[in-house]
Amino acid sequence: MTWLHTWCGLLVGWVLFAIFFSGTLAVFRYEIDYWMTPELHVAIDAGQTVKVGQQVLQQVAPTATRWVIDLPTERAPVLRVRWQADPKQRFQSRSIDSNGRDLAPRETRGGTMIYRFHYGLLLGTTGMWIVGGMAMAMLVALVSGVIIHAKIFREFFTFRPLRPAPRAWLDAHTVSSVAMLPFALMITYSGLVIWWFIWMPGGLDLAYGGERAALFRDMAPSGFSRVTPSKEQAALADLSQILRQAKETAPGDLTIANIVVTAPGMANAQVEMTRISENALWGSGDRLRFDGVSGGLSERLPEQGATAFVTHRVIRILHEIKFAGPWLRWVFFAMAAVSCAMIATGTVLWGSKRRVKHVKSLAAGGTTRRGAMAAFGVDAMNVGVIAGLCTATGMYFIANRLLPMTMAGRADTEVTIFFVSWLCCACAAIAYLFALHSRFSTMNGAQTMLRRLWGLHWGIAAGVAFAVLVIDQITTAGISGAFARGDLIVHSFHASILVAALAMSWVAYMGLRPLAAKRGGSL
Amino acid sequence: MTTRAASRRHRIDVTARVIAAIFGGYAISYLSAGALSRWLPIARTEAILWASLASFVIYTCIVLYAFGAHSAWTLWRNLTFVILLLLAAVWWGR
Repeated sequence: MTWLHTWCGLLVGWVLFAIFFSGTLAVFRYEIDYWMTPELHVAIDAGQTVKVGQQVLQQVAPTATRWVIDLPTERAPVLRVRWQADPKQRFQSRSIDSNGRDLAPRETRGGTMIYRFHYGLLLGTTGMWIVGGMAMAMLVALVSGVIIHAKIFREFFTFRPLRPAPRAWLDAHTVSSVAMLPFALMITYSGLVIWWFIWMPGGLDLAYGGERAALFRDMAPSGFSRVTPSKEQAALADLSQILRQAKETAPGDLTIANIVVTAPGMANAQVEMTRISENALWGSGDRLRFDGVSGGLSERLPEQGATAFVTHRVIRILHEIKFAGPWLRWVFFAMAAVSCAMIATGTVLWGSKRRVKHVKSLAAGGTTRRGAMAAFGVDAMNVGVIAGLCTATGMYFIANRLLPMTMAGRADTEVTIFFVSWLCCACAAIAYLFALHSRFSTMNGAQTMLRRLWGLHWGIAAGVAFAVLVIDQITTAGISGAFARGDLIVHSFHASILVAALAMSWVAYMGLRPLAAKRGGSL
Repeated sequence: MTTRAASRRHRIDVTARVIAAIFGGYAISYLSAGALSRWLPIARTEAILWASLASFVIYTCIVLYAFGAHSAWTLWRNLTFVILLLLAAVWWGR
């Protein structure tokens, strides 16, 4: 029973860490997408985008029922056209430069994979239920932590027979937890609420007959129009003219991320664009609707809705950081990173507490050697899961640069490499433990061994991170190219990897350096 | 022998609370979302959203209560009572 409790608890900790880690990276989902498709790192003439997009769409998909032109934004300075042959089909897309040339970016899941992993572990609905359960556990842990704070401290955390290391872990855990509590509460609750209809569909099932689509239709003010294309043909108006008109419509300082054309080339064609504000959570944006043939503004739908709808939407915007400019986005990133540290140190703390108990009772003859090994196994898995995830992320980026361009199933192979690297790290940590099991006779030997294991794995993760930079430079001239273009997104990516690599090197050094006998004497 | 019996009783108690917290808690929050959606005197779509937003808070409270309740027996009794109450509320809701 005890082992069940421990392993369930740890499993929750590990999965939560993976969710928070991927969520932290997903803050820069589009930026990672951009870095992972270096073919798109070309200058785009902002004045030409819409005109060229319209020309390309006219050429490749003149009979489509819907067109979308994704305009370059600050976060994703790429131009992409998408089209849907008929309403039941998936969108096809093409990335182009401002001359209309097909840029044919490499096949990759990019930062979007990390984002999908964050909310569903790439396991479909099952994965979403796992994530939902973990988030609920996290919410309970946070709230109960607040309520019984003092008690927890007296009962659990005053246990510190291993002075230097666990004390340090404890301090790290306490500091990051207390500092991040409001953020963690907000992000956990908002994450749960976003998909209430999957995890808690009581209201939907019992008060709306379970008809999700109908509920959303009745709840949302108005979506993109469903136009049945008429039989009559008519030339589509100049979209760049329409965009200019949209920019002049007050308030003018809003971001337009894309232009949606419904029934292009038909007499009842419509052009719609959503304008979002990057300075406000809600209420400043709107949706504009134009007549596709005459080009005149036919409707302006301000961002509005009933109270509960707006509340839910704002909670979602908070979680997905849709409102934030670059600086606030970095603040979110930093807070999410510290939350990762809070979970990681918590897991490590738990592992070390159990280890001490086991080793003590081993010395007193109360436990078998196997019991102590299991306790160390928890520590080894901690190393494999936490440091291993960092290594795996680096390997994912490296795979993106090294896999052949024309390889069949390239994007899937990248993802496979991510998971296989992670698994290898966990296996390597366990193998290390078993290879050196003879050192378990003394606490000192075991402690040193663990410290080395951590050092080794952080060293590997740091090495992989440095390798990302080197390989990027060699294969795509990533660093020098970014300097030549003055590309802030790619610069930020490189800088983040560099900072992470340096931090991990430092931790690795702390683990691997020889300790003075006296300092670590009592463990 | 007595300590072994006591520790066994403790395990059964903890297991009963965990099961009550996870499944009883979910049942109550699910049903409360349904009951509130039917009873709140506002537009149905609005009521559903408010009830769903609240249901996660209710779940958290039930889990906390499950570990704070006097005994596993009273916990199960009270949860059953609330579930029956909510079922009735869903049944007779508008």
